[in-house]
Amino acid sequence: VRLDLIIGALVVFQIVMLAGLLVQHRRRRRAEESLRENEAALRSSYEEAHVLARKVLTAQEVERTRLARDLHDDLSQGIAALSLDIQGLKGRQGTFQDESAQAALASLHEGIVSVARNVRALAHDLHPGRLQNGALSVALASHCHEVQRRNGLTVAFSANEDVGSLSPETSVNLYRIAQEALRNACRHAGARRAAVSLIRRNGAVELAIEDDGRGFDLPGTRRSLAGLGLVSIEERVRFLNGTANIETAPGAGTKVRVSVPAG
Amino acid sequence: METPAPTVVVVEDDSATLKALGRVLKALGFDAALYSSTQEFLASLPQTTPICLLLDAHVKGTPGLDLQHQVAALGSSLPIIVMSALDDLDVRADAVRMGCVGYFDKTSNVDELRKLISSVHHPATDRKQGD
Repeated sequence: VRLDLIIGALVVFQIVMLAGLLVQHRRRRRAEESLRENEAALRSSYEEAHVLARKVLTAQEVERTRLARDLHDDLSQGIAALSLDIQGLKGRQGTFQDESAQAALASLHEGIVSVARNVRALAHDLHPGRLQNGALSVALASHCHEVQRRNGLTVAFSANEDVGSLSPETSVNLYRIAQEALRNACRHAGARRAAVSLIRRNGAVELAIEDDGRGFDLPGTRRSLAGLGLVSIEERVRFLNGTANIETAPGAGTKVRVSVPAG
Repeated sequence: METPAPTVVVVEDDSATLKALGRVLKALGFDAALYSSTQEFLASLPQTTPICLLLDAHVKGTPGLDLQHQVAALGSSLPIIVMSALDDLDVRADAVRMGCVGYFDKTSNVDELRKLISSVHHPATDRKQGD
């Protein structure tokens, strides 16, 4: 009887152990499934974030082009008409020939010319006409010249002769990357010198922007809102299926190197 | 008998700018023939003998810089001065490449315009050609 009791107890114990293992196995399987689902959801939201970023960049470009066209077609035409009218008044006989009237008209014209210059710079920043033809190196050379003129930063530009023609998509995104890097060099880094180079080799286009500014803490900037410019650079590179390398540290300047398939 | 003022043709699709250019040209001593489209101008070309054409680079219809070919195709060697509201280096470069005789930034001093027109207007030669 005692042996029977021991065997019975062992059988019950085994059954309980088996049931416990079964429950544990089920829980583990559910946990694994949940982990897989979370991973898939994370991957999907990561993909969605990139698709969204791509759509935002494209929409931004379309909007910038429209604004540049409106500035040109409407605002600058209106300014030109005003400028011509003021000059027409300067030549008109009668009280318009008084010294004070002539001085006032000359001052008005100077003001109009200054407004026209600002509108022109804004339109150029929004969308340089040359990019429509895929002439990236010409547009970049012109932008470097303009940055130097406006900000007093010495900007050297070089490009090899074989850069050739690129797709509007590649051109505009590389142009925006250079624009963003130079904007950072002027606004935040207090740089005195910068260099932009564009090289085509082995089926890829390499763009590099270097400055001698104060540099920054890369991981910290990535985490903060101030790092939106970096995000924009990296998203544009991802959009072009390329690679980006940013080297910087406080006091050490900044080097942005980008390589994308030539297309 | 008083010599009639030489005619300058203006093709510009912005009506305010077109009228302002008309007033400026009159003040500079020219007759202005104003057209708001390239088609309108091309239709009138065989009947007019202007000394030059002031052409907006971004005029709607035939793009400004393509018009030169059409003018030449009509047998005219009319000098063309291209204008733009934005002092655009691209337009300047294209204008030179297309053989236009000058470029006028519409916000710059009209003395520049007077000089450009004078550079293509040679009264004695023009009169001979008109005879």
